[in-house]
Amino acid sequence: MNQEKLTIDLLSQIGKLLLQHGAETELVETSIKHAAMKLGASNLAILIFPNAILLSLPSSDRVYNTQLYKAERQDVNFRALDKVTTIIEHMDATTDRAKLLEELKHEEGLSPMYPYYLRNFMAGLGCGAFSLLFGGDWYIFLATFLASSLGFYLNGFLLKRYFNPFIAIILVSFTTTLYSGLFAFGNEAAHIAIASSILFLVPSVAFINSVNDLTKRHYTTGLVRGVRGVIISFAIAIGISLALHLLGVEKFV
Amino acid sequence: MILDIGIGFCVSLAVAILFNAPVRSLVPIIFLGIGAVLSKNFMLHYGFSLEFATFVASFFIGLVSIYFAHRQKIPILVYAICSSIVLVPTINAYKAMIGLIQISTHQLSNQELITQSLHYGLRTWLVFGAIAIGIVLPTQFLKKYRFKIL
Repeated sequence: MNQEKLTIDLLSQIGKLLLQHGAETELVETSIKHAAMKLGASNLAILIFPNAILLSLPSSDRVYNTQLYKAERQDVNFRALDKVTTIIEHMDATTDRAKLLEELKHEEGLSPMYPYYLRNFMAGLGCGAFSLLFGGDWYIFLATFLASSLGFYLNGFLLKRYFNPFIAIILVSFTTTLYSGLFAFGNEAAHIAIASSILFLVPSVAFINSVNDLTKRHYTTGLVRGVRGVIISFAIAIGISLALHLLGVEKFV
Repeated sequence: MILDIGIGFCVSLAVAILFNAPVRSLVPIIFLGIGAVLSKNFMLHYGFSLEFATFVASFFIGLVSIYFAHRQKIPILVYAICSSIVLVPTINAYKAMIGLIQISTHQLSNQELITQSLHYGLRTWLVFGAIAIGIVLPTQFLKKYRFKIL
């Protein structure tokens, strides 16, 4: 009995980690099935919601063990995906389940992020390079770099204080647009600076996962991810339009 | 050309760091990002439309990332998302949004503005769709499904 509880806890934790860190539904499902096969629990039933996982495993001919796990957050962390798939790869029937579960429960230590200053610098560099792609010059590059670095710093500051993510996105896109508009004020390519400095907020994972899920007949999760992407886009648009009304819309066409 | 390579390098590396991609996947992501920028610009240079050029570039990303995913045992998603950010049409989205703001605040009689805004908005959605479909399509050729939808 204890062994079965451990097995189902382990499988749910695997699914929860994958769902939290931006995996598509098909990947979550096949990973759980793969792990269950390796642990010798092949007759497992899986149901995946946009933010929860329901697993059911028959334990004898009369009882079903069912477990509902909720994904607490939704962010993108590809190192966690890599780690979990590697763990599944090395799993077999003799694996020490309690130890592995202990390791997986420790989520922060499982997948360390890159250092914060590096991510901040890279956000600026990526957005600056993006402005060059649309035909900006080096002055626009510098303005975009500074604005998006400051915006990314504010983003981390707000998320550390547990702001509502959508409000945080509105605030961040407002500030980033304000900075890039002020830095590039009067330049005729100022709209390139504004359009490319908010690149680090674009919900690309949500949109691509949405299409991924819809084409593999996971309609519920696909629709929910698409709606999340649309809401994030609207939040970005609200922030930009607020800032542009302050600066004057005609100067940035 | 050298500027394009630099842009592809910087953007895909930056996105990979932001999304916390594993260190051993950084080189393939950079390769795919540079390839996407170059193939898109090559097709635009020879007069193809932006939507079709984006579709071909993202199809290239999807196709090559299958190889890397099998080789390094990392999900395809990691390569595909990090390297396809280069193709996102932010400037079109921005122009569509500015057009909507201008229509709503004043200049009701300006027909050209309305058409232009609609044009940029539609183009944004089509390019987004081209990115997503182009990435998803190659991964589906190799799989077998036992269901019918018609």
